[in-house]
Amino acid sequence: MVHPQRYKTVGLAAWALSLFSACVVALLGLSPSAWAQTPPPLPDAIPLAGNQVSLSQTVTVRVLEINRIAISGDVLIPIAEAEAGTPLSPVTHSGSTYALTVNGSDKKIVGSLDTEFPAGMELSVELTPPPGATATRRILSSDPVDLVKGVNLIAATNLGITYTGHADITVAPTGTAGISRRVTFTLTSN
Amino acid sequence: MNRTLRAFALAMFVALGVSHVAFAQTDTEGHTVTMEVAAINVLAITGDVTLTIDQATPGSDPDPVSGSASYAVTTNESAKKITAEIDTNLPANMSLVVDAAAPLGATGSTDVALTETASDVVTGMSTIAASGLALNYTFSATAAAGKLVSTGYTVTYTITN
Amino acid sequence: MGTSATSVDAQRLEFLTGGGPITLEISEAPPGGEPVDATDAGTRIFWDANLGVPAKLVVSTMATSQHFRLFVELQVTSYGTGSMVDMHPEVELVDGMFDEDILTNILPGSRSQQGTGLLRYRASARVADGNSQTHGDDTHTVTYTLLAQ
Repeated sequence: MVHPQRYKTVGLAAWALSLFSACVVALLGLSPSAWAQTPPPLPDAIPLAGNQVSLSQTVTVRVLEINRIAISGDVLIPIAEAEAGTPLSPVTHSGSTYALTVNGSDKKIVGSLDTEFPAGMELSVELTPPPGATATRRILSSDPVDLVKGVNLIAATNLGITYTGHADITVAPTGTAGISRRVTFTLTSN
Repeated sequence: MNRTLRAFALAMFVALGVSHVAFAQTDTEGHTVTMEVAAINVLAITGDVTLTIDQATPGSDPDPVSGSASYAVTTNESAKKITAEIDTNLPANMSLVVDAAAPLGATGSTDVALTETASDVVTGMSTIAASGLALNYTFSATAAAGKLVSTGYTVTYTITN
Repeated sequence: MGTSATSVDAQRLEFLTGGGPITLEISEAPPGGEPVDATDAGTRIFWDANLGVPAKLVVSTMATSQHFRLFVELQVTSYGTGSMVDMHPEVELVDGMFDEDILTNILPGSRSQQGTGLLRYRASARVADGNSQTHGDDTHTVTYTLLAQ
């Protein structure tokens, strides 16, 4: 791209040269057709004596790959009901949410427990995927499992987390303290 | 000269290699999930029973009559039992007894007389979910009982320790 | 240090501090939010218009394959006696842009034609813009010019 101020300077020089050439033609009686160029129009604005000074600086903008996830507060799943003659009823909890920011492509969310629940107890989770991604309900264990895949270029909040807690009939009552586990969600490359 | 050139080339390689590196980030967050399992003891009785004594062998007391219902039970505790009681004692010379089938691992009973006082009908239940268990009633009366107009009685079953 | 033209008829435009290559690195975002802008305010310039007429300072940039946004604002930190110059709002630096004013009404006079200012750069990107691992960095050659208004 031609710098506009420089163009004005070039235009002025070309105009002056053409004016001089026209004067020579007039003095020597030469046909203007002998000259290949016609003078350019006079520039609109003329910087005084072409005085200007410039200063340049190299500025680099770098954007790192950013993957951030946040999870809402702790969860309590009370298992307290059963139909007579049937095992304990599973309980679903849908009040949790997560938020994420991804400025790259093809990321996933994996989930895991810090330690396993006792035998007979099971916790499964399903995340609401952000637009364009897919989610699968999975039973959580200490081994990470893929919960959401195909996360691309997204900043989203209030995405749902749905837990389902289950205890079979052999699990003794826990009391109000319950049995707790740390559920970890990791946002990472696929 | 060669050493200087190699050092320069190495420096350029490092600089070019680092200048466009955007380190991928992995972010981890979590929270605590607590599952609380309450003590659960539920019992359901299916089927009202109608018992009518209207037959007798001459010279003997009227013939007893029987009827059946069923029950379902779920408990996640140990050493539980089921008791049964009737809301109002039967008149003299009449009796109502029940045989209760037991779920797996427990002990049932036979001919438990139903009175206003709770009596054990099933004992030793632990962590069980079972249904379709039989409750067999037998209603009997002696000749001295006289006539009893149709009367409804409520039999209450309770899971307890 | 950045590029400094030789003064012509005693006009001067030069770096007082900084002026060398700088990198604005966007590296953070709140979960669920857009990346946080990166800023740099480490470059100070000095000007002496000395044109005999009101002067101004303009800015433009060249950047091949620009993917992210860059802004600059000049904050005057000292000014000679006389009326104040007119500072301008932040200017967005877009590859191939025409000159844009960042400081105008630098009035002639032995003191009023001089001043110093802080160049405040701001880099901004949205998640939809991707990142440098995909596109590479944006490298701008930002040019400031002091000329008659």
